Amino acid sequence: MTPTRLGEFEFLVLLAALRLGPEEAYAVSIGDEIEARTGRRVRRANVYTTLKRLEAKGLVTTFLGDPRPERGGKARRLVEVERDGVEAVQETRDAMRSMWGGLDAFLEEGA
Amino acid sequence: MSTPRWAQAILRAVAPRHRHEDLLGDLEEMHGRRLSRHSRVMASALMASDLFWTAGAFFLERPLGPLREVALTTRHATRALLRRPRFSLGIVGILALGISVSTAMFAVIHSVLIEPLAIGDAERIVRLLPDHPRMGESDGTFALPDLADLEAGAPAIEAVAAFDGWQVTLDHPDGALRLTGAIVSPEFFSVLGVRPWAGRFFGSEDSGAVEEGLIVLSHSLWTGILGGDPAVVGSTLRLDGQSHTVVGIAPPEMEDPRLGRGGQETPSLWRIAPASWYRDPATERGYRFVTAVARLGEGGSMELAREQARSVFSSLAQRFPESNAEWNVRLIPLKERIVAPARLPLTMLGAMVGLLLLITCVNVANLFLVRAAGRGREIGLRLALGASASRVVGQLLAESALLAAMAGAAGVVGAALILSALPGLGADQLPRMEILDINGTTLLFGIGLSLFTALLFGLVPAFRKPDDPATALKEGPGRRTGAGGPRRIHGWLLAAEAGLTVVLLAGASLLGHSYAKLTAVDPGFDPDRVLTLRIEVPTRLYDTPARVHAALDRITSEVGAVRGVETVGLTNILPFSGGYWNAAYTVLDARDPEDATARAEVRTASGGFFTALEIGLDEGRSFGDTDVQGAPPVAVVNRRLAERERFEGNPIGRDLEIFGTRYRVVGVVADVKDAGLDRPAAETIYLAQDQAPTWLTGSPYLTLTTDGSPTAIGAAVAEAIRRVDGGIPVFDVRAMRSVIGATTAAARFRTVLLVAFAALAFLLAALGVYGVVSYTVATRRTELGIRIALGATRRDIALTLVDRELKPVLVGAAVGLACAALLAPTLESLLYGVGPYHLPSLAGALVALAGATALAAFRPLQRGVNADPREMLSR
Repeated sequence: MTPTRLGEFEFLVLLAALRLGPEEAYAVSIGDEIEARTGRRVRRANVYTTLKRLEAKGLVTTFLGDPRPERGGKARRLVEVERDGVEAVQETRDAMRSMWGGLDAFLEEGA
Repeated sequence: MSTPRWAQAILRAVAPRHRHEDLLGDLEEMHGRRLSRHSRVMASALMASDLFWTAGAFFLERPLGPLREVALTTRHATRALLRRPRFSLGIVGILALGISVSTAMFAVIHSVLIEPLAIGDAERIVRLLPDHPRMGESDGTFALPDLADLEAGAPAIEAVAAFDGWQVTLDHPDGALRLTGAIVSPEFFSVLGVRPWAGRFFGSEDSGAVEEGLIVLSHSLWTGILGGDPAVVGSTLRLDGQSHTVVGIAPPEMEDPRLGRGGQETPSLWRIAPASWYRDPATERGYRFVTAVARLGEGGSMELAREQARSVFSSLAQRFPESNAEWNVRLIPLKERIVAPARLPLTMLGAMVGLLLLITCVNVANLFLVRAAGRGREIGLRLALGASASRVVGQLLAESALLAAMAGAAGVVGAALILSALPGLGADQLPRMEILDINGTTLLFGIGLSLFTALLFGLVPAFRKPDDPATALKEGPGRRTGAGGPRRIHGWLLAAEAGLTVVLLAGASLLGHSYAKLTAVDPGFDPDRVLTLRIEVPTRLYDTPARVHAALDRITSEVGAVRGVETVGLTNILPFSGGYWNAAYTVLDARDPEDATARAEVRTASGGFFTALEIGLDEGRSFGDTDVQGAPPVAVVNRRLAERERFEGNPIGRDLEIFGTRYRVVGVVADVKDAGLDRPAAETIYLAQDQAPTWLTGSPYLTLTTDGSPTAIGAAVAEAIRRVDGGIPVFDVRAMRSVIGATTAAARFRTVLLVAFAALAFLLAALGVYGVVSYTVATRRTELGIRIALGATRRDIALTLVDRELKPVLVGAAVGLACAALLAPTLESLLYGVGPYHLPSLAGALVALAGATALAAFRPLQRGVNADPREMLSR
């Protein structure tokens, strides 16, 4: 199988969805998670677009959860990372690691 | 807190159906979060931005199909606009300015005047006001038996409820708290048609137990001081030292000060009426002390209810002439009663914003016309290359729509900013400002407005007969002389702009002059460095006059010892606080017994009151330490009263009878304009604080002169009073300046707004003149070049240009002046100290317009006059 290449934001969204798990991962919580961990501002519209792309690539599936009172009785669209998604994350991580190799000392110094 | 319907509609329109559920849920969740962190206006603005991006994300993914044409045209239009960034920015800027001001004003007018009241079937609720030949438009009260007869005798009226003001002290761990509430008849809440937020309201089953203190709390008292604990329902609160049982909590929409008595403060709690309210009807008809509201029957018409109510009161007047002669009743829809004071100022401001919008439109039209003249060649070229006329019109439309969209978005953001700044400008004294928000209707108004103006004027080039392609192509760029038609239109537009601007400037100038006069009025005392506050000595603990006076003495000396306090005075009614007490007095040894009795404002005061406020002593003496209980009662009168004939030129030493007590006049003090800067000082009698009955002196105001900023020592003074007795509540702590300022807040608000509008109009007028003169000088270069080459002097050129280009301004200004003079009388009731035909205001408007015109026209005229003929002709 050809490895799926992940963009940076796709990578972040997949990691956030994995952290939250299929019970808690949905557009709002994924945005919150990325904001809390990276400190960067996340526009929810970007999360929607990215999730749609990831779903089209078969890396995640989405399904409606139970209705919630704080959402005016509306359900959340929960996100579950598929096997392919986990593999894509691993491949991206490996690619990064390999690019990282030997740069630690240099980057530490630069910092 | 649910997401506004317009936002849901937008999302439903762009997102695929299977995503509606989760996207709407996300929107709702985020909106709820933002509401808990930000103001409503801010939360709405953030939601709009969120919605914009989300809707955009889904919209862009839809298949193009029939939208392809639109997308292509839009791309062309975007490019065309980007090619002329100054023009595009100019249009967007000017339109956004007009739209933001008009949308904000519309939001205010919509919230205050149009939006129905949040409570029940508001249109069926009426305020009852007594109709008596000697009573004005003010609030008035009724006798309970009359109301019972009204309810029984007018079938169109379903129910009548009565209420009365109530001031109580709540025992609270943080110290005694003074609360404003209302005592209400059991049916009060059902007449208003509100449902309890928690617990229950009063019902008929409570009428047997009315001596028991049953209370309903306001939502804000419950969430504020009481911490929002639901267990409070059923518990008891100590009010004025007595237990009261909380039966329920009122919903937030009851937080309207105008549902209280007097309309000054929002009631914090409602108590069921005690049995002492309902006395023997036969003897109590003249005892008018309750305010009344009524609910019309289902489908019952206002007219019918009015007719029946008046006939009930007419028959009461015949049956009980002693108490009811000449008394009748007026029915006014509750909403009308609430918004009536705001109607005139808001209508005036709305009309002025309308003028400003017209000026904006004129400016935009002018800019589009300028541009249209320069585009003949481009349009001709496109037609020659085979573009259909509809395609060309389509592109013009798309350009306008894009400009409108940008201006609309900027305008709505601007409106939100203006709305959030309004409370700081004094808008909070308008009724119903708490519901002010950018809602769907307001948004629709803003968007509609921007589309309408931009499309109307954007199509100007299309409405012009398109040039024959051949002619258009023959013309070189910049060679058009702009003769005939377009120049005449520019002239008209310039004249209209000048006229509208003069009207706005004149209005602002009138209100500005009036406000300056109002604030320059000498109140009759020196409010600088004076701190005022109010206390309440609980009569259940201080049950004799001697005890009350002793407590007040201790408080006065304790407060006087606070560092920074110079003088301490006491009075029962603070000037400018809105309080009044009109009572009859009799001059006992008057020469003319017919003229011996009259009415005057009666106050209590200590000697320190006159010293603290620096109220001048004209004759005799002020109150001193010897004027105490047991000593001969004394009074001081003001200058206006002293000049009454019945005192025969010398009031000192005369005896007055007030409330059955004889007071000797010992001094005359200067007049104080305590009912408002725009009212004359009332004839006033001051009784010595220590000698007056305790029902007059138990809840006095303290007036303190301080050696620095008055509010800085507020906390120390409150602490000093608490040291005397922690059960004495301290409230209304304010600098005297802000007490006076509150009475001019309404005038300040409308003046500030109108002056801001006039400044914008001034700016727009200057821009308009600049644009038109620059344009004509540029398009008439050839003509000017020839004239200079043929020997015309610079003076000739300047005179020709001024004569041709600025004459419309003169004509417009003259017409505007006439309109301003015609409209000015409608402002009369808002003016103080200046008449509607105030020459300096009208002249000032003309001078300002002339200044704007001269400034704006100077550079382009200079360019025309100083141009080199060779350069001009060679273009």
